[in-house]
Amino acid sequence: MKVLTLNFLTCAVKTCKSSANSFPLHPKDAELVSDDVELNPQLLVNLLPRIDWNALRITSTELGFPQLPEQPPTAEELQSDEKMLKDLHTLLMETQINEGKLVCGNCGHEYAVREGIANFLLPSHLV
Amino acid sequence: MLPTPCTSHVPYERVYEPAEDSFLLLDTLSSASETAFLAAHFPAVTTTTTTTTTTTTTTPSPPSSSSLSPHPLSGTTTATATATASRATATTASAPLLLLEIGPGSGVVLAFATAHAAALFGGRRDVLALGIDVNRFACRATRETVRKAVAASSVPRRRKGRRRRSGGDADGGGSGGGAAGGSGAAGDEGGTGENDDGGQQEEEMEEEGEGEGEAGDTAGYFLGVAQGDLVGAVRPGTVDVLVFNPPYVPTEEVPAVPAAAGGGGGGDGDGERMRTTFEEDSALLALSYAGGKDGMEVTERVIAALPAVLSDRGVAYLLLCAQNRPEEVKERIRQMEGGGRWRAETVGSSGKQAGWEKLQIVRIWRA
Repeated sequence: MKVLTLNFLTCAVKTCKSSANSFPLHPKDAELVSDDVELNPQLLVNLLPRIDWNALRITSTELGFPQLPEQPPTAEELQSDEKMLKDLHTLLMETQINEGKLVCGNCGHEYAVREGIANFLLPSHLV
Repeated sequence: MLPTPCTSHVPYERVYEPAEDSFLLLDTLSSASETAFLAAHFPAVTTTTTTTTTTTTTTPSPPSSSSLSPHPLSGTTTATATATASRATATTASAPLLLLEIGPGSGVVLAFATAHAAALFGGRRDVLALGIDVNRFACRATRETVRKAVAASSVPRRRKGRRRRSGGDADGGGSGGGAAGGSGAAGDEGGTGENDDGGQQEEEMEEEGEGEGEAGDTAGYFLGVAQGDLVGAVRPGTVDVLVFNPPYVPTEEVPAVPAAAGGGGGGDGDGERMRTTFEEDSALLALSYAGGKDGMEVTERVIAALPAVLSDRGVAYLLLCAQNRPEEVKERIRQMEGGGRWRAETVGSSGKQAGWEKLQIVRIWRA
């Protein structure tokens, strides 16, 4: 599962939906693998407006990647910043979470990730 | 015809085998009318025209004889407003599309849409594809199906590039895929008959932007597959294209969604084990077809979630069978809250029997 996916997922527990703490899910004991994907600067630039930057900053730090600036770069800034393009590309498009857990910041539930597949099925008492 | 993804690795004893419904989805998504709709609905670049209006109002000095005026308001009606409109045009690149298939099963539809993203989405390949299936074996199968289809979609081109170089073409093709794609030799290549699909893919790759790192590729980006119950774990407002081939067969009851094991982070929960009994396999397959009352119980849950899960520009493709009472379903969707903006139209069908469409694809979106 690519790290970018974390920007589109949230805790599956119904009562967590209204809590800001249920997003993003926090990787724990994550074992990462990397895929070779060719850098597509335009894709990253276009992605900017649809990414929750704050969530991405959290994810990036938690996975041990370089700290992202507080504010997202503008399209022009990103386009001309080769290093940030490369960093974002590595983080979002190449890095995959292979094993570990995704933890909800609200209810604390841990979703297991095994063989790259996160399991969002809930135990019966949480459904 | 775009090639159908290979699913030979899928364990059909516990994962739904591609059938008429799956193929109807492939045919519909790649039909001329749907690709035209999607290209228009998701333009790669949007041109917004902002009209700035400057209004200058001149109010004449009140007539001294205002008290005598038969029309007390006549003073204001003589005010002249001069509006100067200036138009500015700005182009905004459209954000990449998030494509989500719920219950991909074998993965044949998700793999098709991912591998042929540029052909389906008006030349765009900034399509981020995600699958969510309740069945862990289906998750594994889908991942493999997408991986194979994406790899297969790029093989003919590489071969072609080599052929062209060995044919003494200028080395322009070698310096970057974009150059190879734009060489205009696509038609000739397709005509060799060596690979019927090659010609078509070559054409598609001409459509997509030059200067991209992976120019020459028509595939989107595969984010991965998660195991889950429908859209429960999807962040609201994110999905641009949702595809759902639901369990639509009317049955006595809908099988229970397997629960994750409590505590311990779901280590060896149901569906995590590789070995299954015949009963477990049957239960997994039942999840893929058993739809409860009118075959609509699962589908209704997804329809109810659409307003929350779809982005503002989001489009959903939903498969229905005749027993689902599709006309009533469409009418209910049109009545969903949202100021009468919801649209639901049949955009593909198959298996006509005595005037009844056995299966149909309904496109759902906001106008």
